[in-house]
Amino acid sequence: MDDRSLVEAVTSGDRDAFRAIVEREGTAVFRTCFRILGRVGDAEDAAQESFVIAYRSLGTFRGDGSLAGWLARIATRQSLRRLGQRRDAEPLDVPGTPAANIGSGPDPLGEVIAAERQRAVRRAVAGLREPYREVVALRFFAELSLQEISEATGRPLGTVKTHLHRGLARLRDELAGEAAA
Amino acid sequence: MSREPFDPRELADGQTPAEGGGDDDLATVARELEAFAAAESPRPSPAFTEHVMAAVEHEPLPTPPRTFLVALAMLDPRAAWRALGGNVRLAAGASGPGRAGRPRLTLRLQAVALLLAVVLVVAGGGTAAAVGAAAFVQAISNVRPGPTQTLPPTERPSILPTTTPTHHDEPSPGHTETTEPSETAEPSESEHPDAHETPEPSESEHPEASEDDHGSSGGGEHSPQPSGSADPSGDHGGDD
Repeated sequence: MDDRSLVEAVTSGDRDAFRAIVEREGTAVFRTCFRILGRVGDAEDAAQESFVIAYRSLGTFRGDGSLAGWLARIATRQSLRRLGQRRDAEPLDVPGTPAANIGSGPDPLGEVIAAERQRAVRRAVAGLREPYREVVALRFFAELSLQEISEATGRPLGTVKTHLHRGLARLRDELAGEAAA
Repeated sequence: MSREPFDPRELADGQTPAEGGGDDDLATVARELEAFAAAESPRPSPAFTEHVMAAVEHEPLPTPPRTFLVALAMLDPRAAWRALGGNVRLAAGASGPGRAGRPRLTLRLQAVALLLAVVLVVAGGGTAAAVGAAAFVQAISNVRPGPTQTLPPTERPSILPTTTPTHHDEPSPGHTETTEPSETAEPSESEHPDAHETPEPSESEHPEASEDDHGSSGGGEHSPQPSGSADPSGDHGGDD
């Protein structure tokens, strides 16, 4: 079944069609949430919330773009919103965070450096201003193509390219500053 | 989903901002982001789908009519417009129920009823707007005649000077006509004698009373007839 048929089946009262959507897109949505939030529990909550929101507003899905892109945008926005709520009080030793797994591998120092770099990347992306943050997250965390981002956000393709270019440039400056520090 | 690595040439058609650096730098950042994404690619728990379905179980069906009403309640015109399109497709039978193998007549009737309600509301609103606009225009047009009425007075003075010479000739007869009623007042003076004549019949009655007075001069019983005394001329005439 293609996206439109699935959506129309759901809006006609077929809940099993929505199960098919969750099974098909669940992993991608969860990974998008996890890459932004960095915790399995938070990512599952955000992904579940994203699917509930998608279910409620499924009637507004026009089918112009892909259902995966539409879901990825919902998941990205929900995850960024959650990240903004908890950013001030982020514990380091919560299970599921990179810091909690340090020392369990053969190269503890390398793991520490990698974990710290991942934290820096996540923090830098989260620190970007909109709309650059959303475009960068959709491109690299949700792994959407630029055309899919254009369709999901409703922005022209040229605008998406500009936003991605500026977002990457600012990320480069931010990460260079982090490395220097 | 795009599983292909980032290529700076993706941005070739975009508006390259002046602040942007070289493509190599951007590619380096992109490689780091891709490495980050590859390193953080866990899978959800096996019960994830069941959790989502349990969360959705108590949600009302996202049917086009309900979606439209929710969009209206959230004051989201774009979502309402999209949902309206879904209702049109559903009402026209082009939507999924048939293809999904579960045609729902009630859902289709809901969509038709909602579309009819929307048409009624739009038509009613349009009519009300037209009536309101007409009333507004009429109100404005009623206010505007004021200045247009000021124009005739400006014309009247222009006419009056031309007519005044002719009126100067006529007013003199006009004044003579006003004097004519004063001549009719003269006949009213002729009525005054009639008024004097009316007392005369009373005098014709007085002679009887005067005779009584003369006859009973010593008795005061008939003195209460003041009519006789009121006509002193008759009494005095009798005395004379």
